[in-house]
Amino acid sequence: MEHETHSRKGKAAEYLQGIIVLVVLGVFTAIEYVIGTADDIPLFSSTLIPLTLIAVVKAGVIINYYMHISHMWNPEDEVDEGHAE
Amino acid sequence: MSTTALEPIAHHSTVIEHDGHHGGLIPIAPERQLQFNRLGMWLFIISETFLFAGILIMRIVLGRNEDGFTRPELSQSLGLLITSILLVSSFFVNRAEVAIKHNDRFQFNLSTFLAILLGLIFVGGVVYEWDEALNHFKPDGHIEGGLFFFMTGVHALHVITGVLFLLIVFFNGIRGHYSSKSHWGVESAALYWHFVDVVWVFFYVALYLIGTVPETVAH
Repeated sequence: MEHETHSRKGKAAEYLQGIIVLVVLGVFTAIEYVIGTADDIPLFSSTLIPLTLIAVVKAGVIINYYMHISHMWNPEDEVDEGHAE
Repeated sequence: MSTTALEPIAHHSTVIEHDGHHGGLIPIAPERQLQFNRLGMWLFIISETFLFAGILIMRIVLGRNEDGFTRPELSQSLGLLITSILLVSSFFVNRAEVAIKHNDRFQFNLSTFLAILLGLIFVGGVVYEWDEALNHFKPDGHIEGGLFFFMTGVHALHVITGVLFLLIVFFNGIRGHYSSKSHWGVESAALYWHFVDVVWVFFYVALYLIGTVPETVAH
């Protein structure tokens, strides 16, 4: 019973994390779009560096939260998060 | 005990047994096998990364003139739309993975189906973009056009492969092949799909956002 409640909470937390990651990616994509399509942004002389930096951050978010790269060297995380039962 | 995929097998004599009847084959504990599977998948992804990194470098080196970086004339709204579609599909793949880890089969099947649908819509968007682009430039017309068709073509091929991968996972899921304890197929398909998404994160910037449309390309 207690295990089931814990598992349900873990699942809800993981679903919520997925939604938060999606929102973060959406916000970064919107910022990219504005930087890339605005004719003249005084902040940047070239859009290459800010756009590349944002893309690197987005990729890092996906690799960390969706691809779970940390499970490669720290599989115990899964047990802690309730992934492996 | 801490175990990682990179540790020598000999350190785990409690779970590894030498089997003389199978010509020296060593049975591996399931959790250990999972770590090897993950390592293999990540090595495959790293090898694919070299391909896409090379393509990106090619775009940076070739896609510029004396005024700076150039890009083909493309529909910005369509680029943003298909990018968003791919990001949302990654969300549903992640949701499917979480669902099967918790034996939530309905959510797993629904999320996998939606991810497949969004993947197909993405491919449809790329095909539509190709059709539109062909009205303005040809693959062999100028360097921006050639880069556009090559980069989107190679990526779309990977998306189609990912859709096929997800379709196999979907049908296996319907037949109840996965559980919270055994779902490597789901995990590997998710890894592949997210990787394809990461590639597009960079391709979107490289194709749609960096640089300006040169006058010889603009209409």
